[in-house]
Amino acid sequence: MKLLRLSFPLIILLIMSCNEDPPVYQEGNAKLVLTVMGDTSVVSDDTTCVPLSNAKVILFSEYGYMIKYTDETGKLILEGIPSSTYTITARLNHPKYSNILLAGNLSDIEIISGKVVNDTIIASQISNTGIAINELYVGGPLNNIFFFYDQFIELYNSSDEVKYLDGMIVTRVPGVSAQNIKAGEDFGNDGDIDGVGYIFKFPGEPGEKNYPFHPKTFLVLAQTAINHQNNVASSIDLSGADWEFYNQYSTSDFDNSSVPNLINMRSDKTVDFLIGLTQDVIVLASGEDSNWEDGIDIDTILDGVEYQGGSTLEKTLDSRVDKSYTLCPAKYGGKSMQRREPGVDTNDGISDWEIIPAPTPGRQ
Amino acid sequence: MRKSFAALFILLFLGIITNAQVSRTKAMGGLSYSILDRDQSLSLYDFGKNPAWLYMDEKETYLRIEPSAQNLWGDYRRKYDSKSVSNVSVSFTGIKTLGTLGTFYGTTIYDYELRTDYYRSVRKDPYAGEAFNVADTMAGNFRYSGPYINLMYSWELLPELYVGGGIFYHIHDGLKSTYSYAKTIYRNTGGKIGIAYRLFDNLLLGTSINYFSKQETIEETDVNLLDIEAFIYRGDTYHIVDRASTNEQKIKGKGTTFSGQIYWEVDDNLEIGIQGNYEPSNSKLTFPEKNLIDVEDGYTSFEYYDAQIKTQYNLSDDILVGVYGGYFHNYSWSMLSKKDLLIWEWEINRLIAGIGSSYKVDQNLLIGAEYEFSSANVDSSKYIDKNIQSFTSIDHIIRIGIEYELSNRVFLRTGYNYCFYEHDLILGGTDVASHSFTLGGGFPLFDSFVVDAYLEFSNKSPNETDNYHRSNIGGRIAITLNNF
Repeated sequence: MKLLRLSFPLIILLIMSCNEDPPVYQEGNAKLVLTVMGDTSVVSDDTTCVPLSNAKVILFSEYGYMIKYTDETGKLILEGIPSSTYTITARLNHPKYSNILLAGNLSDIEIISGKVVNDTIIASQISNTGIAINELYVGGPLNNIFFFYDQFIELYNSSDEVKYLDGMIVTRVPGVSAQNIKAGEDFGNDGDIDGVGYIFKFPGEPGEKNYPFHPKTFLVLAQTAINHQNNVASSIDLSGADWEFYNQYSTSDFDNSSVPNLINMRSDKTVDFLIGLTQDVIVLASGEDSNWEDGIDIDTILDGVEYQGGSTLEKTLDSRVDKSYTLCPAKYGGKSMQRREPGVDTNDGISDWEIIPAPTPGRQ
Repeated sequence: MRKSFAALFILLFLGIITNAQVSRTKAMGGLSYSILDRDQSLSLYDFGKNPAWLYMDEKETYLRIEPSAQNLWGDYRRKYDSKSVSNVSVSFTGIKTLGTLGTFYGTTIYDYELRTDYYRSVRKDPYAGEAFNVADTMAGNFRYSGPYINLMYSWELLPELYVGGGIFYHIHDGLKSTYSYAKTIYRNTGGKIGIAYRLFDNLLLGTSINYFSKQETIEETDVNLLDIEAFIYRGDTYHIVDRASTNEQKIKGKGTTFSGQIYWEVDDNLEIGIQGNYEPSNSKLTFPEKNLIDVEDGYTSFEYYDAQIKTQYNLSDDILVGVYGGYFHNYSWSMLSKKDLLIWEWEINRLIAGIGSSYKVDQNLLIGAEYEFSSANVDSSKYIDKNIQSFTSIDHIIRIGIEYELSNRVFLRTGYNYCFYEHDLILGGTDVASHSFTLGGGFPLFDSFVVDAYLEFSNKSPNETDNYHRSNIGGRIAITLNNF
């Protein structure tokens, strides 16, 4: 009986100890105080940083995008945002010169509940002076027959002068898994990116001036320049594309004779310029280094974009080409990826790009 | 303002697996303690659910077959609820008495459920009290089906010492008819053991332990191998996207219930049943990271305990008075596992007091009525959504039932049940009124069969918006074979 009396409280204690205590810290108590400053001087060599009011601030985390604007003092105060690792970018058109963008960003900002993060973005001037990849439509239209042959790459000349495409190359850089070369990485640290899969070239040689690219215009490089709506109703008409990828080593690649071609530089590749539907690295280079076997020199690269299907995947493109990546839409969904502002390239894909509901070849 | 908690109450409304033996009292408006009924007694088995007392509670061998059907519809519903729910099931319950060797109980139920326009959620129960949900982008029909099996055995181990135990296994597979074509496999399995001891001739003590382990595996795969987006919600506002040709999530849970029971027959006219239960349990949401290993994303802990007392007093040969009291405590918290951050914490403390009486007007007519008062204190802090709520709900329930014996063992039964909820913890409305009407009967069929059946129609609506309601119509037939 005594044993019973002693054991009873022990049993009760044992049962009650099954209960667990909740974590000490609660979600939802994070605070971000962000100040956006920008250099608005144009003529003077001295930078003049002033608070940027009404600057667009894009916060990206595992929860997706959040777009906010700074107040008149250039500050953005956010309370209660979920804890995560954020990439934050701020951008604003120069108050006087529309071809100048003020942009800056912060990467890997740890925002944790219960803490106040106080940081400043210094936006520097980015003059829209070059050629950039402006839109990537890779996932195919809405269909269930695995149709994705209406892929295209759109370029934009954001400079004020005519550029020339002669000899430029467009490459896919998926890496070489057998050699452990990741997509777009500088394998061996020799100043180039390795693992080129496909390489197509504009006619001519770098420095020649036969194929002009006029300022503030778009060029559409179609995988196959036909009206794809004849095959899949939800697709697009690319018969009016400016350029077409054509593999002269292929026996089946269709060639629209009224559209000039980019041609294949790898004779071992006998299919069209097929782009990864949910993950790939696309690079546009001047063509001064077209020896793909030892990698494309980074200093000849005009623009490069890495896109992925999820935020948990590894980013592999060399950060000198682009320091982040962009999220792509689901395949066979008819959506596209486009730069937020035409041709504006801050070398930060996650901030520069957005998913749009439908492709817009030849326009923003 | 809509408030939804619904943690432990959803089964009551959906009626997925209802007790197979309550056709008589269900037909009488749901009378529970004001009426003498062989399946609603105060015993350790009927009231305390202690398997050890099965041996003493069930003294007759029988086989009962119960088909049932139910349909639930209406616009008064929560975000992830379906437009309507249709449910059909058939159960087979057998009791086999083996004399001094003990008593065996077995039941098997096959259940089919169709949820029409189930809104985005691909979880079987998106309102289980956890802060996590899995959804796709479309409403679609979802069907669940599968068996439930429960086996129990009890015998007298030593003089006045009874032991019993049982196992149960429940599996449901589900399939969504559109977009993600989500497939779910839900299984819940466990066991129960109990002992009962007759301390005195009129005093019984019992204790039991119940363990369960459940898992819901959800897989979204497009039949055309297209990409599928699964939205894993953390709270109501924020979600992450899991996207691939095939996505898989698992919700695993387990828990143990410790119970104690007392049955005291004070004298020939007064019986008292007391029970207390304590149940810690948990669940966790996992999914493969980088398509490789399962990683725990969210964790939820539950704590439940209650204390209940039921008494029945024979005021006279014709009048029975029943009293019921209960205290129920539910506490839960959910956290983000990787960050160890609390995102939702809720607590419900409910006190119930009820009184009722049944009166045998004459040899053929029995009437009964019960009134229950309930007070629930609710605190909910959804930290991640900045949604903090605290309120008290005063609820009232009235049950009225009539049984009339038309001729020898031929019964006609009817009932009415009225509930008023200041705050509806299931669907979220305020000042919600529920009306339920039941009609049933019982009669012998040949020498060996007894048939009991009932139909129920209920309607629930908040007063805040006209024309919002959630209605339910259902019925059950119990065919009991007394010799087999």
